[in-house]
Amino acid sequence: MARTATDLTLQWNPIDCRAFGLCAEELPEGIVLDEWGYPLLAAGPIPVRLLRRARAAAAACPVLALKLVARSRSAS
Amino acid sequence: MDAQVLWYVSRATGVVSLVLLTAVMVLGMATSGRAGSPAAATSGVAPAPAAPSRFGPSRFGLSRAGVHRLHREMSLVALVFLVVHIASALVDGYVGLNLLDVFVPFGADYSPLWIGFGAVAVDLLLAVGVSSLLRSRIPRPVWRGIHLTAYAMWPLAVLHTAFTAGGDMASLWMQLVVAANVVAVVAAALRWRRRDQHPDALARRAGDLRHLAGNVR
Repeated sequence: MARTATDLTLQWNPIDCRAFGLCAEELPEGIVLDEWGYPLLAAGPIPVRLLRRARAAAAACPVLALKLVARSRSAS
Repeated sequence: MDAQVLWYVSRATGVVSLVLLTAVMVLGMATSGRAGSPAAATSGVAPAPAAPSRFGPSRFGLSRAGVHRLHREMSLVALVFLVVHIASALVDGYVGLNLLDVFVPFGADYSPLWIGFGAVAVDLLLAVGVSSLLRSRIPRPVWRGIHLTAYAMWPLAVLHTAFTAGGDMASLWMQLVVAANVVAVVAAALRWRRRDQHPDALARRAGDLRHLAGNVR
């Protein structure tokens, strides 16, 4: 059976985040914005079919407050 | 081959490069800061977000993320035209430039000042491009500082266009193209300078005021 989940997840840095909101436009399946424009991330690993969009979401962040990391590293 | 073909290629791609650089500037300013973000549009009080308008108003018929991507990708297209513009001028040889004149300003035999402005613009453009490719590896203030030199690069490119293209600037269509580019960037800059109304930005500005008042005491 094909793997449906990667071992990657999006890691959000709330200190750096300035609510540009571009991430939610690149990955609407996994990110919604709260009422102030800050992202709320879907829990769990990134599904394989959304990996490209997740990469785009991380790359779109003007302040690099969103990173795609291996799950084991983000668990702490 | 007509001996003048390369010379015409250089002039044409020069104009196209300026138009593309203008577009990159306008697209960049259209997404810089929180322009167009739903929360930034309100003053002070957080809006009650309606789900469909979550992504705020679009620009040029694109989402903000789409404009952001276009900003990046069009900069590469501009670079291609710029390479052709420079390479054809060098190979053509009509104005006797060498490779050094492309990067080192004010040493050219032909129109050293205005060719020099083009060289400075090329240097700044390369710095902006390389730093953006390395964006995730260099400190953000460094990236931002280099990126802001685009606002020096673009006027230099305009001056280079207007005063190197002596013959072409005599024609009305060329004057209109340059004028339209200037109007577009100035209009985008004025819009860009409007203050961010995001609650976060308002709170940060209020925080600065308290800090100053504390010093007076």
